[in-house]
Amino acid sequence: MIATVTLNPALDRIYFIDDFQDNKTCHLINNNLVSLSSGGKGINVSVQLSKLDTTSVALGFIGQETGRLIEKELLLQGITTNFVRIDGRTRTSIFVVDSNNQTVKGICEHGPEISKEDRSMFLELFEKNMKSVDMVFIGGKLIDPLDSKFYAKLIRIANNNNVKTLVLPNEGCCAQVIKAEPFMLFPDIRENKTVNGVLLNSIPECIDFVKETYSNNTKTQYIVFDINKKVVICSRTTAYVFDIEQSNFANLIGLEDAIMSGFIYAIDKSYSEKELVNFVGALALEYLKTNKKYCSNLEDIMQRKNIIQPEVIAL
Amino acid sequence: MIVKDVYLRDVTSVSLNSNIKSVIKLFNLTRYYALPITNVDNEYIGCIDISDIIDSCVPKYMKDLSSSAFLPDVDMFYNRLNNVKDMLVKDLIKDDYPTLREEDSVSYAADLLEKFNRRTLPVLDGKKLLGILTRLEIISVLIKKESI
Amino acid sequence: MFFAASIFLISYALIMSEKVPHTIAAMVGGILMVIFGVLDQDKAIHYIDFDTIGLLCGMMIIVLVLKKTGLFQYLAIKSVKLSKGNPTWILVSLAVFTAVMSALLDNVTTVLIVAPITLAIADTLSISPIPFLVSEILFSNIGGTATLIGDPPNILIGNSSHLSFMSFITHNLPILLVIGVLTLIFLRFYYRKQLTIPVDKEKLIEGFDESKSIKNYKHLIICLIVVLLTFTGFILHSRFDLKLATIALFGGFTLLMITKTHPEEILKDIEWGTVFFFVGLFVLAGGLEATGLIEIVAKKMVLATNSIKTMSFAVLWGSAIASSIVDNIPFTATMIHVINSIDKMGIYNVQPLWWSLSLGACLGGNATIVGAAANVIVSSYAKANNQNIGFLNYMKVAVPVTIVAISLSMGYILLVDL
Repeated sequence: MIATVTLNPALDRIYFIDDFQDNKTCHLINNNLVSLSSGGKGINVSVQLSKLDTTSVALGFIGQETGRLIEKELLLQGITTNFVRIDGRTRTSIFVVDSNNQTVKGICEHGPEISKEDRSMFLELFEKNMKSVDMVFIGGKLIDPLDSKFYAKLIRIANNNNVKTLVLPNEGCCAQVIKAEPFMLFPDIRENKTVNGVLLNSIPECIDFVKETYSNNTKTQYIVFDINKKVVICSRTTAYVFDIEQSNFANLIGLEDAIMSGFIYAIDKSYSEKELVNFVGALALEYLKTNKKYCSNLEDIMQRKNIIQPEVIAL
Repeated sequence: MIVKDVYLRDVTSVSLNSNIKSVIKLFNLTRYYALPITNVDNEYIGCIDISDIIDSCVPKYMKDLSSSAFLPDVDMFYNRLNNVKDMLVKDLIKDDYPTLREEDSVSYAADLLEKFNRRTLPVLDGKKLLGILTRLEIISVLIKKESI
Repeated sequence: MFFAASIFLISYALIMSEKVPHTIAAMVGGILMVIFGVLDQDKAIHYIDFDTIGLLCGMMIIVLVLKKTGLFQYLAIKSVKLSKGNPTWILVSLAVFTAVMSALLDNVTTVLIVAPITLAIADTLSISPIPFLVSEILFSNIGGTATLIGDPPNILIGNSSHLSFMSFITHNLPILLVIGVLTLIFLRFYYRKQLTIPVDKEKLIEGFDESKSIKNYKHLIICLIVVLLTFTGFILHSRFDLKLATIALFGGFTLLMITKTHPEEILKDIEWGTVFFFVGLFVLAGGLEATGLIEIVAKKMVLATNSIKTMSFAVLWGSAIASSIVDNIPFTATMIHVINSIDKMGIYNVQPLWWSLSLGACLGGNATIVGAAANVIVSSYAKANNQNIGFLNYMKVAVPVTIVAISLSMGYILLVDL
């Protein structure tokens, strides 16, 4: 069984507007031009997994109507939910996708207040769930008072229960996270190209970082980077590099979630290292090909998996 | 149609040592009528129903009065609720809460809801909680079937 | 004879020990009397006093229908409101209500009506319900002694002795009024500390709205008319040469007809356990009588006591003591046969014995919490609502009250009957 953690979920409103102009109110001509969907790394991964016929339980915090909407949407998709309900309101994120001008503009709310009680309720719930899952994905934006120490705490609880942790932390909390030794680490270096104060501009720099990290810990088995139009997957012995065509700019938003889902799927199916890497690569490429938030053509992914050839670098 | 087609996969639960105030808060936020109870190993133990809380706040003699309408309003119910808020779930639950499995038919589930006069039933796989089935979900089957 | 005696004693022992429900003990005992040939079936049936059974059933139906109208609750609250929040007067009004209801209906129904109301009142006024509950136990037995229908021993006595409905009232009521007043004074003194209401709660009594208790006024009026006619029937029954069972059953079923109640709805709530208990007891006691054991006991009593006076007092105190420890119904059922046997000897006028038995068996039940069914019901009801009366605490009040009551009764019988 798989669990995903979304500490600060969002209700994503995406408006598709050709030519969004300043100082002008845009009246949409029909409701197909706005999409409402649940967002947040853990939730995205749960939904992507459900498209690949894999069940998971979504953990995190939800509050008020936006929270209920998210929960309802997940339940409709056959995802099990076990959220901590809070008084505050789950945040909304608004995106305007302007295909004419090839721009994406977005506003992300901060997120609700999490009280001490909410925090301890979540820890209790998380511990309980770790007794009945094999893997847990923890990712995405943190919110006060849930800081990087909290992240690390979750990883340790999972490790204590022999649960594999797959982590996609946002920038800044990497030091704590690395110390906690997750099974798989995927640092977000899209905007800020440093991890732990180390600048990672190129693949060799990434590989050096990985070697350094592996020398200091034993539990981490995979470290992944999305850098310079390439996806780099580093096991303890080998680095695999995939070239990704960034044809559809809008889809970049969800590429990491797709990669993460691929990992979880492959581990759940007990793939070998090579099969896992090929599957993740294939899923990433198929994902970029589709114009949707999620990729569901498993057959195509499997076909690509069998023919894909990543660049292989020994560590 | 079987339970698997209609139940809610929400596994929100409380523990035996949760206090009643927090449970009432959760009832308020979820709008469910019963909440499953799980232990530290995430195994299903039983359920706490809203009626268990209400029952503990209505004095026994009220049930034997042919009508309690004659009593003046002295916030009796609220005062009793206040006395009960620090009690724990394990102090209030009753045994033998009926349960369902995914393979059970919806007819059986409906019958169980009526026989035991419940509004929510937990769906289990052995000791593992899979979700809940409410009366609303059962009757909404009509709308779901029609929309297919 | 040996068989009869052992079956009787074993059944009695089982009833007293409460290890087996008393209905079952009595019925099994009674049937064993037939199986072992002490009585044949026809004779056994002959011993069953259907006048008593019919009266019980008829009264139960009337009470059940009346209860549904909310009348009893209305009367209870109305009488409490007269107290204007003064705890002493609440005590008095609840006591009087209980006594009157007990006289007209059976004790168990009365306490089942008044106990929840008492707890509701006490809860609202933030006072202890114990003084009121104890008083209700005492007055349910005191009140029940006043009429033929008020207490099962009296029903049994009335049907066997052929004493009329009115004669019970005219004989017992005066002494019971005296006993009642003295009891109230004692209770007021004993519970003086508990009988205080916090100042801010006094006015709450006025907030009790008794009109909300009545569910159906039309029904209520109809019921009252039928009940009044039934009681008139009780009072005048000897003139019409009709037995009480006939009147009671007629009243009950007429009520069902007029209120268009579905018979099952009411009949299912009749205390069939009590009815079968009586049936079994009649056969058990009848078995003893058939073997002549009763006659032997009766003769021994006559020899031992030598005068009607001594015998009366022996019956009075004996019944009181027996009643306080064990269920007074089996005791009374047996004593009736004894008294009848003495009557057959033709030596004495046994009327004082009937009155002694009546007063002793009914009032004696007050002494302990297990002395009468109503006592046990109030006590367990209180416990279920987290209020403990306590076996010994009850006796501290009840034993003095009962001793005074029986002593006064002794004086009264001496004055009036002997």
